[in-house]
Parts: sequence; structure tokens; C-alpha cells
Amino acid sequence: MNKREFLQELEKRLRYIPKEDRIDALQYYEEYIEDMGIGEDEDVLSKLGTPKDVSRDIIDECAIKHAEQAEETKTVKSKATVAWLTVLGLLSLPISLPLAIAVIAIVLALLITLFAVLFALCVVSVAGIISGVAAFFWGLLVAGFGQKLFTMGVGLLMFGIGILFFLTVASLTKGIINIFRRRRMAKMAEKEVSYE
Amino acid sequence: MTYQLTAPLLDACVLGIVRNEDSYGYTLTQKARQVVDISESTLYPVLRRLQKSGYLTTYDAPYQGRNRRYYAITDSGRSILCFYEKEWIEYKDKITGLIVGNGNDSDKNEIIEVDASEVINDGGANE
Repeated sequence: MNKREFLQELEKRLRYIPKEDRIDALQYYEEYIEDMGIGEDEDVLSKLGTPKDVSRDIIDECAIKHAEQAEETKTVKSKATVAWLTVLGLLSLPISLPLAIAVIAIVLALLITLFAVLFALCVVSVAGIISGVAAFFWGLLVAGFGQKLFTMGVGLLMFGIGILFFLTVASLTKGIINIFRRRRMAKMAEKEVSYE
Repeated sequence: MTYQLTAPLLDACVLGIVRNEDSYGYTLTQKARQVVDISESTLYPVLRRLQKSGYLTTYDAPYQGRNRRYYAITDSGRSILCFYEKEWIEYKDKITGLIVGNGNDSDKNEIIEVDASEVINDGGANE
């Protein structure tokens, strides 16, 4: 791994620490590698260690520092901010309360619509499959060869449409579940980073 | 190396290196590595911490067409280094005493004449 690759890898590993800290660290190591007298294409790992080891030292230090800072600021700030937020909240109640209700109503309406559409698609697919099967077998009982073929054909067509709708509903549901899951994972990741 | 360095001791070493002469990351590390067993990447977090605590300041000086970041000790850095120095000398003497055997030098001659209980009292008074 040469200098450029090393620094790129290090930057990637430091992506969750504050930008200012990351830039400082990268600058330090770029300088350091140059001072070691390592050429552009020479191997860095044997002399400096892996980006993983280097980044771990930096991240550990950052974590300790931020934990200390967070504790300090919390104790001083939190009381004042909580008081102010309470006052602000009370004063803005006449406007914020109706707004909040409206937002909740809109979100609820959207969710209900979404489920209604999904439900409708579901019903169509089930109806298609059932009626398709029914029409197919009804076709066996109908008199006349041409009519038989036509009825059975219509049955197959409806059965096919039912399956198509079913597949659409399945993939839509999967997509929606995935979106919610990803959002939750992103939130968890955010929390982890802030703990770090 | 048999003995491990703790964080304050490492801080003291770094401050000691820049006490008389400003230095940059690479030479700082090499100077420390001549004495203690640390990796090339050990000192960066230490330097950063000391800088954030206000014990070190940095300035950039051009060197062969690029920048080199020098670390210089501040006044508060000097005062904490003074504290670290005192603490270290005290600690070092005590540890040496424990390892070599406490009170060996002062009590050697008296042991012949006084009994054991008085030697213990003597040791306590010297502390």
C-alpha cells in the first residue's frame, strides 16, 4: 500500500469523526510519511502500520475527548436550554398545536391511503385468481367447443392477471418494509456514531 | 521494553522533548522511540490531546516546498511539565526504593546495635 492509498484508506476509516479532527490527522500523517522519506510508490505499511491501527488510536482519543466535552456542556447548558425550550413551547402552543395536529392527520391519511391501495391490489389479485380458476372449470361444463375454449381462455387470462397483481403487491410491500427498516438502521447507526 | 507507559507519563515525555526546542511529528516520535517502545502512530493522539488542552501550540513552517507542522510548548504546558517532573522524580525514587529494598542504606550500620522494633520506627520517621 503506497502513501496515497494509505491516506485514502485512513480518510475512509475516519469518516465518522468530526471533519476538523479528520483533516488534522490526515495532514499529520501525510507530513509524517514524507518525513519518513518514503517515496510516492513505496510501501507504507511495514513502517507505519495499517490504516486500521492508526485510525483506531485516533478514534479512541476522539471518543474520550467528546465524552468529556459532552459531559461538561450537558451539565452547564442543559438546565438553561430546557427552561427556554419550555417557555418557547408554551408560548407557541396556539400555533404549534393545530400545526402538529394537521401534520399528524396528513401523515395518518397518507399511511391509510397507502394501506388502502395495497389492500385493493390484494383484493384484485385474489379475485382474479379465484374467478380465473372458476371460469376455467366452468368452461369445461359449457356446451359447444368454441364456447368452451373461450371461457377457459378468459379464465386463464384472469388467473394470469391475478398472479401479476399478486407479484406487484408482494414487491411493493417488500419495498415499503425495506424503506422503514433502512430508516431505522440509519437511525441506529447515527446513535452509534454519536456514542463514539 | 518491560514497563508500559501510561498516558500522563507519555504526555510528560512529549512535553519534555519540546521543552527546549520546537519539534515536528516525525522527529518527536523518533526521539521518543529511542527510549520507549511505542509505535509510529502512538504520538499523534497524544499531540492532539496536548494541543486541545492548551499545553502545546502548533505553527507551520515551509520545508522543501511543503508545510511542516511544528509543536511548541505553551506557558501552561511548562507549568504542567514542572508538576509532572516533580511527581515523576518522587515516584521514581519510591519505586526504586521498593525494588532495591526500602531503607537499606540508612539502616545498615544501626542494625548491629538496635533491636528490630526501633528499626521499624526509624523507617517510619524517615518517610
